[in-house]
Amino acid sequence: MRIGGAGLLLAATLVPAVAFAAFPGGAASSDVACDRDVAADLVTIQDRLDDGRLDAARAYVLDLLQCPDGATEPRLHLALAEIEERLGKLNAAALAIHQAGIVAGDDEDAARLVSDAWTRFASRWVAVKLVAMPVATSDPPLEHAGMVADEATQRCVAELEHAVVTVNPGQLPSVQWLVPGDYRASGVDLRLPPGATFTIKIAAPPATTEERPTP
Amino acid sequence: MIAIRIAAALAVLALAASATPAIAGTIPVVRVSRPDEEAMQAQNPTWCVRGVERPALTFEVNDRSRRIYLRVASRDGEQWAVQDVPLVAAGAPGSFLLSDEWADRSVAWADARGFFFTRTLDSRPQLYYYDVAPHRVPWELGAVEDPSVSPDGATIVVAATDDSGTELHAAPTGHWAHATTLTSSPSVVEHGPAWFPAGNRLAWAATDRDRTQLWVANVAAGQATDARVLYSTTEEILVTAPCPFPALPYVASTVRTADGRHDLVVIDAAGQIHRRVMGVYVEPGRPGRPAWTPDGLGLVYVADDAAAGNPVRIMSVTSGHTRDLPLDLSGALEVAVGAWGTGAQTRTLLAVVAVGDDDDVRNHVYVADITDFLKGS
Repeated sequence: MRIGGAGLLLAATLVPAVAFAAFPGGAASSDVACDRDVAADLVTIQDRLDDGRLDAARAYVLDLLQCPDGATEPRLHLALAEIEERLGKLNAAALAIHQAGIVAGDDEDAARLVSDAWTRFASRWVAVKLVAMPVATSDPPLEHAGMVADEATQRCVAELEHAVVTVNPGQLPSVQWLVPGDYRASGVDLRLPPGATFTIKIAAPPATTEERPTP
Repeated sequence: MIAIRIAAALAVLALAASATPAIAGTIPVVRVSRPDEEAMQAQNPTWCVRGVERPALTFEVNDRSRRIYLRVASRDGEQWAVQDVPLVAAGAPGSFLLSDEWADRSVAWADARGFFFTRTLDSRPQLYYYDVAPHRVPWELGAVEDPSVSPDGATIVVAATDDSGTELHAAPTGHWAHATTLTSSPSVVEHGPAWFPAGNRLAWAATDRDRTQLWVANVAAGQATDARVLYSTTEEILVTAPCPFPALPYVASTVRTADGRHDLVVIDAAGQIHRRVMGVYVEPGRPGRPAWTPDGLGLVYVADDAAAGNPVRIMSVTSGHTRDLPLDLSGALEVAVGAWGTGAQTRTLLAVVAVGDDDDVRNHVYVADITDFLKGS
């Protein structure tokens, strides 16, 4: 186990632990029509955030992301990331930033926005890199050991408990995100400050027939 | 792009201690607050006094508008490292917006690993806990003030105001669902809870239109028992601190007299005034807790004596004699006393808020080791 200092995780080096859903094409599912002015939409979203209406802002962004142009707009994915972060849903926020990086593609300006978003995000929270260990254990990979477990902390720990390593040996590890604080792993107390990275071993998922090595 | 409007840097800065060459016969001081925080005024130092491996304290910095931020300082060797309490808290949406009104204050250390504090956003103070990041405490109350943690760290008491008034509430730390209400008196404002050093005994002030009463009670399992009025006065009791030495049954309170003067009174177990210091300097609107020396024999305060430069003074609780501390600074505003180490190795540290030197006239936090001075006293 190791605890690193302030870490910067660029989009290119991050593999989300949760597979993201593909955004369907066609019209949006609810009230939002798809002929949009993104700049105006972003103002609307910001207004809702300023008013503390996070659920309304989230629903609005999710509707926009159902539109073909919306799904390929990095700023909307970053908006969703910010909303999820404010709600304390760190893994969902990381997933949204990751998706923003994918749709940014070769657009330098958009890529810079995504990179800045990663920098801010990674400086505030703790990155937990998951690597597979061959022997299964019933112990939780990480327990909160601090005096106050807020809702976001409990959610992150629960998500980590159910996380699986989604990549094959030799590939980049999966990453989950935690609220900084005091934790315990394998009986060892850990103080994980903002910006720290931490590697944790969890049981590998059972291999499928196709993944078994050829004798 | 949606801008996250965070104005304050979250970086940790390690600062070399700014030791001032001491004048002969004076107690040297070290500046702890940063010299590079433009227009920020340091205030309200609070020492960590539980399980201390190294000296640590918090202080507030005030940007002179309506924003107050918290800093954590800890000494490592001869250097002090100062760290910001981050503004952003997971799952606390309002903390992502730097509003016009922002105040982190009222620190109550739980142990050497962290402390409770109140964060005011939109005029409503709520309870937070800081270890290496701020966590909103999942304890739904009204506007929270004055957190105070029991000596064993097991119980926290706060004053909270809602539509029905201001009452004291208690919770076992970490088990917020078991919180209870300690007082129930809508016409009286209960405030300033402060724990005695042993025995789960709590003191607090209760103010109504005509008087303030100093109450004491035992608090266990979320209930207050054997509650009684220790002292009643027509003066206003602002803040209270029981003597830290269990065998000395004194409670010190800062009071505001009818003519607006601030005094320090020491109440004995019979509810009588044992000592009174007339003319204590109190920063407007934010009196610091009375600063007992760790042995409970002395009280350190800033004398309201402008002609003498508001000296830092100590009063012997046993004899009533006073003596100025020959600190190598002037213009003192606030003091707080802390201790570090165990047994004969215990060092007594004094934090003083005072105006900086000629090149820097902002208020800074300075620390002095007054152990040898106290032995000489």
